Amino acid sequence: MKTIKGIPVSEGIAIGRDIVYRKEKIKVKKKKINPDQVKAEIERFNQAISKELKEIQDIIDNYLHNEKEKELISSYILILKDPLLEEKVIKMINESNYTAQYALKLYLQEITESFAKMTNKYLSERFSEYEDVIARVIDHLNGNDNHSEDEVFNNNKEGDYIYVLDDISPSQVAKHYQGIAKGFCLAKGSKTSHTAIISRALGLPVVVGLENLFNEIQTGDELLLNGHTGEVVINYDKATLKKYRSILEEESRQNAELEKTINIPARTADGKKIPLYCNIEIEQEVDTVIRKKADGIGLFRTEYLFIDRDDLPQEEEQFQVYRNIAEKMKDKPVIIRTYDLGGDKIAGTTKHKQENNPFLGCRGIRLSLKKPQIFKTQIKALLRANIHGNIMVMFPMISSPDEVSESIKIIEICKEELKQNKTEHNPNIKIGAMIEIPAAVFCIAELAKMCDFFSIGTNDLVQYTLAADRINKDVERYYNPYHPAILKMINITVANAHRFNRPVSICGEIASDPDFIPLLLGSDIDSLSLNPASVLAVKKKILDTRYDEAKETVRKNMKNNAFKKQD
Amino acid sequence: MTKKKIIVKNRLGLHARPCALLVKTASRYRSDLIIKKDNIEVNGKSIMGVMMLAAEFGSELQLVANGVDEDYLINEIEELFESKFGED
Repeated sequence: MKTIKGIPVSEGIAIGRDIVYRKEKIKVKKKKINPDQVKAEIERFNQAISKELKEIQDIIDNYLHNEKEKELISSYILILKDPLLEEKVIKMINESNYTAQYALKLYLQEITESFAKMTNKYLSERFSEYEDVIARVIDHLNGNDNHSEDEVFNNNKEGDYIYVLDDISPSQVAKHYQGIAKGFCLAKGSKTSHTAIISRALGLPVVVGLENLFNEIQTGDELLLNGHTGEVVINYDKATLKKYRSILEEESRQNAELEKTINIPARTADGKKIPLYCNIEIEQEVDTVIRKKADGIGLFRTEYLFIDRDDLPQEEEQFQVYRNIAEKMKDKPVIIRTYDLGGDKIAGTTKHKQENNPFLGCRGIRLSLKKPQIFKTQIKALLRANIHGNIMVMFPMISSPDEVSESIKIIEICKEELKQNKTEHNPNIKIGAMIEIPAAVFCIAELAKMCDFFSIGTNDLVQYTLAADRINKDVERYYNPYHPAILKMINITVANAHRFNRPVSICGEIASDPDFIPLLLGSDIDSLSLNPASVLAVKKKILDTRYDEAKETVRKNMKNNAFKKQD
Repeated sequence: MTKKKIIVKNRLGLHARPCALLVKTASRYRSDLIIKKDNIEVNGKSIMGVMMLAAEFGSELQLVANGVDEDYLINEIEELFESKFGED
């Protein structure tokens, strides 16, 4: 048995046998035709191009709904209609009498070489997509109209499988999921990929970013796929299978149980109301938030608008996303956190600068203040979208009041510029700070003079307080949210913020840890923000907890300096 | 024949998106468009050709259009570069 871990992008659990399909490097034999076949061969080439054009159009018309996605895919059409492609391939068929496949392969080789020579990584990045498009034309020429990937699905119509692939297109997920696929393990992909979005809509568990998966998994292995945690268990033993089976059973039992609380507001057994907000990363997650009847969005991580792309999101694009979310949430609060990224993740910024300690480096608000143009674009989009709902803005990585006052100055400049351009916007926007750097805990009073609300980001607060990297396996045991220092910091933050009547929320992972809930309630936290999937489970825990007892637990924990979970 | 020298003004250079925009625009005209950079010369209606220029921020390009609507073509392409392809 072996367990590997990737990025969970679509929730659920799948148990089953896998099918591994690794896309081969394009293999085309050098082959010649008779000179009298030239005309027919050119005709065959043109037909293959038309076929592929039709398939791309089909994907655009039937599977994509967002203009940006459509624009991206429509550049494939330009590749297929490229006069250079036509000219070179036809010339090779004419003069050297090569088959169309072989001519295409040579063409691909030629451009691969010129792309490889480019020194600007940024300009050569998109090349793999071009390769895919050409490879699909070669598939058609080889008589594989279904493409080699489709064949995998068509040959395995019986039974449920977990597919192990390099990547899969959204159209293929939509086409093949019914009845034959239980889930996907992908080497590539990201949470924001179209494939992930469609999989979530269809309820198929998917784990991506399993870089080493072809070395770890062989066809026929028995797999357990956990779309909640990103774990993939290969050739599981009986005990693990039992565990997963019981998780599955427990999930369906619990879901039925939890659904009953959906219309009840979250309050403790003795009556203290605790609004439950959601953390989201992409626009589409709002639907789940609404379905779970959460009280608002407590954290929209906007960095997903910025990564995995080779340009910056423009004001209009950002405005549309923020507006859509605000409109869907009606009057409920939507807290939008300005992008929390290091410079290496943002297109066009200093890529060459490798930081020795990125977590202590120029990220979050620090990058925003260093690159005010990018920051202003985001702020303006927020102010404009604020007409359509109840938007609040929150800054990440605040370590002192200076960053807040500088950011507020920029917000004021943005308001002024929007006003001068007569652009519709709502200047009344509440401002909040993430409390995730220990220093911020100790200047809450000063921050409270400028901020309307706070949200404790426990993931980073724990990491910075305990000097333990969250993703380094060797220091896992030092990354302990139950360390008494954390509980003390939460209490200092809340007590000081409340002196100025500023509410405090928690938006880290501990907000969805049922064992931690009593400690948070007892610390007088005003609200919680968690991932949409955990809303009902956390609500259940709150309904079962007494506020007065929770306060007592916190008091005891602080007194005893308890390092462990309390029973 | 109309010629025009232009500078790449968008910070990210001619990456996939601006290339696509350029080619789409050029393809709407009947005139031919050649783009030259240093000693490379490509067809302005070929996405692969334009990509292969690897034109970064600040590169100088020469546009050469030839045909019935060459002036309009050059003007519109120049506007694209001036507007930084809607970026920055």
